[in-house]
Amino acid sequence: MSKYACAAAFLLGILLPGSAASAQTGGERKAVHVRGSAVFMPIAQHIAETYMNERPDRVVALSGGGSMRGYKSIIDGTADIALVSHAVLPELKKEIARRGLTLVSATAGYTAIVPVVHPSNPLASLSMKQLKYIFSGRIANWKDIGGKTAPVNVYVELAKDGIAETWNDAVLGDGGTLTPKAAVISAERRIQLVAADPAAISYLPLSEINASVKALRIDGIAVTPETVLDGRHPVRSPLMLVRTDKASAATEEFIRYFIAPRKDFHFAGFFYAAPSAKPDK
Amino acid sequence: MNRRNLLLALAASVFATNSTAFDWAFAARKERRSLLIAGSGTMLALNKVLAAAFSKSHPLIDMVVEKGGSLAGLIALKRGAIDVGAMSRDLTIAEDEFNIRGFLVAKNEVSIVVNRKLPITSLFHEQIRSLFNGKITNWKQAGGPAAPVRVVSLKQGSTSRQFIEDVVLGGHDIIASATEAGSAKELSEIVAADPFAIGYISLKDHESAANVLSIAVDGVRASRATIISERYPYTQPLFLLLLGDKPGPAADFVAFARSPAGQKIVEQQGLVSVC
Repeated sequence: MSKYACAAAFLLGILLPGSAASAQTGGERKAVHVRGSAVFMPIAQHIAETYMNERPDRVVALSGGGSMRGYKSIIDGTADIALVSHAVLPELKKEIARRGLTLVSATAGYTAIVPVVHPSNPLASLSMKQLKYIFSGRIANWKDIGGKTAPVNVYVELAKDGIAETWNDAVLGDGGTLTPKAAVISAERRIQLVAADPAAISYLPLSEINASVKALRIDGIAVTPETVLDGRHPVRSPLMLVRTDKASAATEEFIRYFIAPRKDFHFAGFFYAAPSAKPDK
Repeated sequence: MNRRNLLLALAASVFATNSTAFDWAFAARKERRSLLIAGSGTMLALNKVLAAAFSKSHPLIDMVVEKGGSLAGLIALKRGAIDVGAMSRDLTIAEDEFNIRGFLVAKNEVSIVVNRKLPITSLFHEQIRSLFNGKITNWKQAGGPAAPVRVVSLKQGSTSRQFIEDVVLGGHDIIASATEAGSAKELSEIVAADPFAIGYISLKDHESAANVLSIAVDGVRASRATIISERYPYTQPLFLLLLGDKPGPAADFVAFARSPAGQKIVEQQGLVSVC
């Protein structure tokens, strides 16, 4: 019966043309809807509020849902800008082609993704190789890398989150697989678990790290704006603003505003790429 | 749970009638058809006013607006039992599907208000939760003076109360001993008269609440910008959901909600316009 209902609704849709085109546009829209990565929501909120305070006639409405939701939303026309940390996934490419869209992306900056352990953990730095062995399960005891004798408890991000992909690509590499013993837990809960578990290891975006856990250096390289922007810190996540080629003028204007170089700009855990991408002449 | 089943049963029965009565001539003559909108109770009043305005320019469409909850609306929409879902929160990753399109139409907000004499201008979410569920009974426990807390609440059925119970209290009730106020104006009068009272209002009521202080939550004050950016924690996005991208009355209704006329209704309902 529900199949009939669907078919009926579908046919009605075709037979009753109505004013269908108006669903997409109704003149030039001034409002800009942004959806995507939760990790970059704080910086985007900050920029959007500054923008709206400077230009009270503008509306930049934000909502989260992750990078995938961001891409999905600009493809299906429910948002104008996707706030994402990774390239579009192959499963969405067909849909983009079907709709005859081209995606245009701009990188605003980066956050570092940092290994974190319990504050009592004696280690200060791990090599990329050690991290790979830990997260793939080849090293399963802290004593094998200079720690105490205790099994390593690995906590990781939800697979659909951009942060997890960035970490896995950088640390495990092509074809590397995560240890089946890894517990998949949200960032909010993960930091609490690591803070409470002396044998824990996990990773977090820089913006979400606080004093309850110990951040480790990778290959001895500390996280600074310089090491993150020039890529010496080997795990970083870009903040990209993605729109379609059919975006409104208001959308393009806000993206230009967002990525424009800012002098003396400080925002916890976020490093603006613009000054180095476009050096002063 | 009962309500959800009721909604689904209702939606299914309406469609059963529709599809058995369906014939080609019916469609070709552009006869009456119904457009079913269901979901979030918070959005019921908004959807009713939007539907009434929409039907003026679409006289052949019978608008049916129901509540039943965000999730029930989503399920009914996925089954094709309704035409437009109303959701007062973001979809979870598990709920999201490629053919579900969520259009942001408004933002809703609740402000926490205290007496201006109370030396508190900001509270953390956890403290506010404990104040409204009765875990904190003395202001001393929240960094204030040693005096018992008086919780003032709007009556059952108020969307702001629904918001407090859903979002702030995680689905639990406001403490039973709370003083009940019939309107935001009455609530702010009670809070203004009692230095140890705490209550809540929504943005639309701020004009009638100049006598009370709207405090910051987790360090963020409610303003148009912090609500639209969703940085203010007690902000709720309101979405209208469509199944697929077929043109038709459902898509037209959503486009109307996002049009200047629809957004004017959003503002009249005391919500924040976003389009």
